[in-house]
Amino acid sequence: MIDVGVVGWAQTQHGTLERETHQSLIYRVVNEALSSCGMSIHDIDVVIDAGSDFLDGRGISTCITVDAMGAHFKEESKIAGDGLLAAIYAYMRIASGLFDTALVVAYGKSSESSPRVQSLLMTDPFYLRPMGLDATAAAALQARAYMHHYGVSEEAPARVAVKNRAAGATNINAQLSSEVTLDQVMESRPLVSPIRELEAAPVTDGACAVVMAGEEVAKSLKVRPAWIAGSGHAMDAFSPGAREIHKLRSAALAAAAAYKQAGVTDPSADLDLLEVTESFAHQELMLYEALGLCEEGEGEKLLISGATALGGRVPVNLSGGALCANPVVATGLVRLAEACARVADRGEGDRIDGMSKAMAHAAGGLAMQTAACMIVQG
Amino acid sequence: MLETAKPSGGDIVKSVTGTLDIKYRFSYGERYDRFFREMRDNKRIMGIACPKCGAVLLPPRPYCGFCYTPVDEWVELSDEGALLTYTVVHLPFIGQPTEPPYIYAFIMLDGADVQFPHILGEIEAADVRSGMRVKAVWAEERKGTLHDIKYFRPV
Repeated sequence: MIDVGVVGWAQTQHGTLERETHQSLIYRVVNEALSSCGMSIHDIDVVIDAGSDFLDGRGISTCITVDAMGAHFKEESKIAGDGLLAAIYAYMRIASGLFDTALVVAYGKSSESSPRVQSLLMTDPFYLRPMGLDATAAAALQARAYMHHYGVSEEAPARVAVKNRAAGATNINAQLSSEVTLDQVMESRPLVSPIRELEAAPVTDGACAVVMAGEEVAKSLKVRPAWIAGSGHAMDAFSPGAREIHKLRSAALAAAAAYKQAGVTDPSADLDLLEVTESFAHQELMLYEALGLCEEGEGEKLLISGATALGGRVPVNLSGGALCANPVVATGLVRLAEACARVADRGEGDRIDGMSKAMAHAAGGLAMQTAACMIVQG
Repeated sequence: MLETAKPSGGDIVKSVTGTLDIKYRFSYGERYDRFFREMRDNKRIMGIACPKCGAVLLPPRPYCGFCYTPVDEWVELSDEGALLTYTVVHLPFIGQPTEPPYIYAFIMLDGADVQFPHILGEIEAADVRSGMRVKAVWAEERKGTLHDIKYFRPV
């Protein structure tokens, strides 16, 4: 298997981007990602992208965005899921030795329609949709089951929001860049109990692109890559009612595959940073447990210990995570770009001294049915 | 049908609004057909048992997703069970079964191994507890959909 490096990356400023089109967002991140590693679109062998036909309001929507991705006359495939899955596909294509370089693109403009209704379209029309099980309600059922099962306090998810909003305040690309207090979160409007407004990710437009290259090309570039050390992806049952909803089994399986490949035996000691997709605050606590940072039911304790904050033993979401910007479909690929920026020694301001290994996580489906993980090292 | 509407904004054209109004006819297939027929005609909730792992599955399907085995043994379930988790929905959105606030719940019906999704009635949100016993209240007029059950009430 060929070693693969993430050699370039870029993301947009996230927010409600009324004056932007899908194409303008894509064109910008593709050009910035290519120029960040001194490559041109003509150096790219294959383009793998992620978009949502529902969010775009266009069928097979990448047919339309293919110009902006520079995919003319190249192999191109679309993932109907998070961009981190597209990254895993691209990685495997290069690792196989069949391709030298790949461009990965993910984009979403949730503000153009109604993401809540879109999520209802993910359900089947007979069993879950008639009762209106959208993504927020599914996450709320999960939150209640998790908190009830392990005796997690009402404040615990709110504390995740406080931590991540503080981190997001230092992220120039974040949509929400102000800190919030515990009282503000606790007193924010109940959306779908027990989830409050400030414990849910905002509606976000944005895009992200990364460039990958096999060992030979990656080493010929003037910039240092973040090398891919492992990846994994797993799927749980479709209906949240058919899962052990208080646990994230697919996330645990995806991480286990990535850890095995990367030789990670003790995640909280071996990883220097995690960037995870917590569309709702309680999910970060569940991820601490599923990704092996602590024992089952100990997520709140780990959070309160400060271990997952900046300067802690195993920081999680130094970017502010999805709670500060959630460009659906691109959210997980943004996690990868953030992870690469922290560990790759490129003489840029984003790297944190002493950090060498980081993991990006993406989630998809109702109440995190699917999970993808990728580990990178500087 | 895609309807293209008037440009919005003042001097500059910023966006157009459009709706995608597409009608579907979703086939029930043999398993859903019997499942909803039993609800409509007999006020019965039927699960299907996996011969390999023993799980009693809802909704009925041709294959067990847990162990990937064909399943064909229909099992009558109680219309009563335990509330496993719930949420009070305050947000309004298209496609809701009723006006918010309402209580959405996952119920483990007696005899089933996976949870049944529905809403609660005849109870205030503050009185709902995980683990409480609930029972289906059937609609007078039933059409072969999940709405043949009006809601679940506390026992």
